[in-house]
Amino acid sequence: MVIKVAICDDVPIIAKEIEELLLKYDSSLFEMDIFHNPLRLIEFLEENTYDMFILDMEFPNLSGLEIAEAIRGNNYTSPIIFITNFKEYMEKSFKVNTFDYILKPVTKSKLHAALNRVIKYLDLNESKFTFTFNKVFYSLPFSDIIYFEKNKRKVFIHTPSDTYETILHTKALLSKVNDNFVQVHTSFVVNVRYIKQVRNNTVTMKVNDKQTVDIPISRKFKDHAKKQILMKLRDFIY
Amino acid sequence: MAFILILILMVVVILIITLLQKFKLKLPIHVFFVMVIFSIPLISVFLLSTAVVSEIQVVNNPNFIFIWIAAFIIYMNLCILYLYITLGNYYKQLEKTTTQKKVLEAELKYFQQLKDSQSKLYSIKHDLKNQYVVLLGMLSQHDITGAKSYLQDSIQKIEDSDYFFTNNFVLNYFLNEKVSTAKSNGVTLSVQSFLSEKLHLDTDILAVILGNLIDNSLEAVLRLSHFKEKEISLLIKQFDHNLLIEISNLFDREELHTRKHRQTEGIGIKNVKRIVEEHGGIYNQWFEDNRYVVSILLLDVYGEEE
Repeated sequence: MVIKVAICDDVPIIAKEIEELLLKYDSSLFEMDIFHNPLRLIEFLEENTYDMFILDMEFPNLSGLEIAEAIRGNNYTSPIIFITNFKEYMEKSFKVNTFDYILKPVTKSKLHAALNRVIKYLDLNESKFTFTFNKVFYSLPFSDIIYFEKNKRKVFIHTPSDTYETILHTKALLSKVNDNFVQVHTSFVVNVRYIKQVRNNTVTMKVNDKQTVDIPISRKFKDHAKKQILMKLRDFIY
Repeated sequence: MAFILILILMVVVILIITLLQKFKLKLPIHVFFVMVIFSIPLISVFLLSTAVVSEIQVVNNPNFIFIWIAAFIIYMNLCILYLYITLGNYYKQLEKTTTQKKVLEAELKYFQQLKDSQSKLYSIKHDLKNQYVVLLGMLSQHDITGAKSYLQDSIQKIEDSDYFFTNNFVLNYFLNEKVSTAKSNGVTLSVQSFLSEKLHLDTDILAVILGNLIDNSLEAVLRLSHFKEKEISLLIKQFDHNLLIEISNLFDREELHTRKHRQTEGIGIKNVKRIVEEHGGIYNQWFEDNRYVVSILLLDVYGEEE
C-alpha cells in the first residue's frame, strides 16, 4: 500500500524539506509529486487524484485555499494539511475540511504527528469484511460499512449503496469487525466514522450527503459505547 | 381635623424638599418619591389614631371613617407599588451599568493587550536588524550550528508573544485571560487551538466548559508542591464537523488516596458534564502515566446552516 501525496509549495527548499521529512517517516510508504506552481497542480488534478495533500497557504498569485477548493470539487475525503506562517488564516480553511494546520517552520515532530493521524484516518490496511450468503462469497471493505443490524439469526449489513445479509452470531460478528465498530445496542453495531450525532437514546449515522439514519442506543451499552466513540474519533482529531 | 393636619404636613414636607433641592442638595431627588416615603408613616399614624379615637366618637358619621380608612389604605398600597416599581427600575439601571462597565473593562484590557503586542512587534522589528548582523557574522565564521540554534531561539520568541488562538474574538480574549492568570500563578498553560468562529455552539457554552476545565486543572497543578514544572496543555481542535477539547495536567497519584472523598467531583465538572450531554457531546476522563486527562468530544458543531 502506497500513499500518493501531492506537495505544493513555491519555495523549493521548503518543498524539499517536507519531502525529506516524509521519507524519514517511512521511506517506502509515500509516492510524492512536488508542485512549485499551484496552477499546475490544479490542472493535474483534472485527471489524477491523491490520497493526501500538503499545501502551502501563501502563494504570490493565489491562496492555498483556492487549491483546496479545487481539490474538494471532486474529492471530499482526502486529508489536506496546510503549511502556513499565520494562524489568522485558519477561519477559511474549515470550509474545505482541513485535516491539519502546521505553522512554519515545519519540524519533524509537527509533521510526523500529523502523519500519524493521517495514517490512522486513511485506514491503510484496508481490511475487508468477508461473508457468504446463498453460497455466494462477498468481501466488503470495512470503510464502506455504516452499520450492522442483527435480526434474529440474520445480520443485515448496511452500506451507502446497498444492504447485504448473512447469518452470524453477535459474538462472531464482534470478533470479525475492526476497532472502528462499536456495539450500541443488542442488535446494532455501528462504524464510528459514519457517526454524525449522538443523542440520549439514538445515534445518527450519515448514509450519504443528504440522508441520515437513527440507530437506537440501549441503556446497557450506552456509557461504554459513548466512551468508545469518543476515544476512536479522538484518534483522528488529536 | 386629622387629615387636614396630614395634608398640611405633606405640603410642608414638599416645601422643605423643594427648598432643600434648590439651595443645598444638588442631588436630583424626585419630589413625588420623597412625598410617597413620607406619607406612608404619616398615614399609618393617622389610621392608628383614628382607630383608637373612634371609640370616643369624635366623628359623627362612623361610615365616613371607614371610607377614609379604606381610601388611605388604597393610597398607601399605591405608594408602595410606586416605590416598588421605582426601585425595580433603579436596580435594572444599576445592573445595566455594571455589565456595561464590565464590557468596557474587557475592551480596555483588550486594547491594552493590543498595545502590548504592538510594542512587542516594534521591539522584534528593531531586533531583527541586529539579529541579521549576528547571523551574518556567524555565517561568515561558518558557525552553522550556532546560526541554526540562534534562528530557532528567535522563532520561539515570536511564537511565545502570540496572542492569537481563534478568530472568535470573545473566546480569544477569554483564553488570553486564562493564560495570563495561569502565568501569574507560575503555571504554563499551553493552548493549541484550531477551531472556527462559526460553530453552532454559543461562545458562552464553550467558555463555561473551558473555564471549568482550566480552573480545575489549575487548582490540581497548584496542589503539586513538589513538582518543579507546572504546566497544563489544552487542545481545542476541530475536524470534520466535530470539536475535540482535551486538557491534561501532571497529577500526583498519591491524591487518589488522600483525596478519595473528592472522587465524586465538584459542581464545576458536573456542570460541564451536563452541558456536554445537553449538546450531544461525550465526556471522558482518565489517567495516563502521571497525567490526568479530560477529553470532550462535541459532535456536529460545524456545517452549512441554512
